[in-house]
Amino acid sequence: MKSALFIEKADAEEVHTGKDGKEVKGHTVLFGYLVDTTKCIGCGGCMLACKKENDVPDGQFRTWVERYVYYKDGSVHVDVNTKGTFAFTELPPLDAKEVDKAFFVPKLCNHCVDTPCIQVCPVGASYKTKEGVVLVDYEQCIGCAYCVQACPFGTRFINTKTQTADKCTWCYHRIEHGEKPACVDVCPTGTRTFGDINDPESEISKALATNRIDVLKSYLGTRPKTRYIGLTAEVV
Amino acid sequence: MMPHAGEFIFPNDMNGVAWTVMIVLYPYITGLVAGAFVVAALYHVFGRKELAPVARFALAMSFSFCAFATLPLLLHLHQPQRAFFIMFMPNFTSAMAGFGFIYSFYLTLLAVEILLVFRSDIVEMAQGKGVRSLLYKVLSLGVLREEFMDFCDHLNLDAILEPVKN
Repeated sequence: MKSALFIEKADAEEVHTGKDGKEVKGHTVLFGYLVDTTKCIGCGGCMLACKKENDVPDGQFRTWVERYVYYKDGSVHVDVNTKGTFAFTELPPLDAKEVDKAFFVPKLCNHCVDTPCIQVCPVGASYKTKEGVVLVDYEQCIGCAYCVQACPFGTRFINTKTQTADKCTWCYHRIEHGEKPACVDVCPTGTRTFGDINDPESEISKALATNRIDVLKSYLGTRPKTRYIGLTAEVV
Repeated sequence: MMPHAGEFIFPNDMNGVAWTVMIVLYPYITGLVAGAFVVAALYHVFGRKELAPVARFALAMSFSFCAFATLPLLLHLHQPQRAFFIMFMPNFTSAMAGFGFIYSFYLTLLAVEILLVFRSDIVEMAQGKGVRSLLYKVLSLGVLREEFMDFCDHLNLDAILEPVKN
């Protein structure tokens, strides 16, 4: 049986073309992202940082935090603080007597290996970099919103400022210089981990190797590179 | 079972769905195009005589609607000035990319059929002078030949080209 989460790892001794055009021996970079939902406190700092870093318009989200509340009567309620304020203070407080348990699930683009969004883009404006990051060419996008319809995770939107499709880029402008995405940098609890999954010594590789890992909607076979610790069946 | 799937909406979808009324208008118009085209074809191609009174009108209607069926799609695009990117740099794994070519083929087919079916009328309308007859002269393609030769004679191209020939 082959795992639904399987991603072909690069050979450590592989020869490839480096940034300067010369041949380099060593593994190619393949970025991955890990969300440990058991650590998230729902502060929303990542949402604010993302908004600031990437100039995301109000009411649109490259990343967001969902709150799952399990009530004692068996019902499950999900909500998101969409006001762009700190934590979930905008939403009505929960009554501790009624609530069985509650937790947070941060969401962002899954940068899938088999992407529905790249498949449907009529002009090839959605593409994947060699590091496995799914990006949108804002100069080429015609704004048809086909990819917005196709993404099963709701991570794409038509940016009201640029009038093109937009999504999480894992802060490509930062990671190409060796920095971490803004959301990973600001997270106070270490919920979010980012790094090279081809490098066995990286923080994310070690975390992926030592934890029970799941992805969102694995039944769709998109093989997301954004992976999760602590998902439950109710998380969509 | 997903107990809350019906209640929860992803925050990016709270602003409304991405494909709206303009996308719905397009299949409505193409429905009219296809229906009229079938009626026209039943007479012109398959010889159903009972459709003779409406066959020509149906063909004209099919062409007219087809010429403007993409207008709602153009209005739907958030970057309409880049609409022709679909044909210049198509991504063939996208169902939408093939659309530009299939649609162009359909429109061309309709235009050619219109020219052939309405040929007698076009030739008739091309007689005489004026802007309207000039338009029909262009559409008639062949009728123009005589006039074009007269026009060339008038320009006296031989006299102009003679020094070049030598």
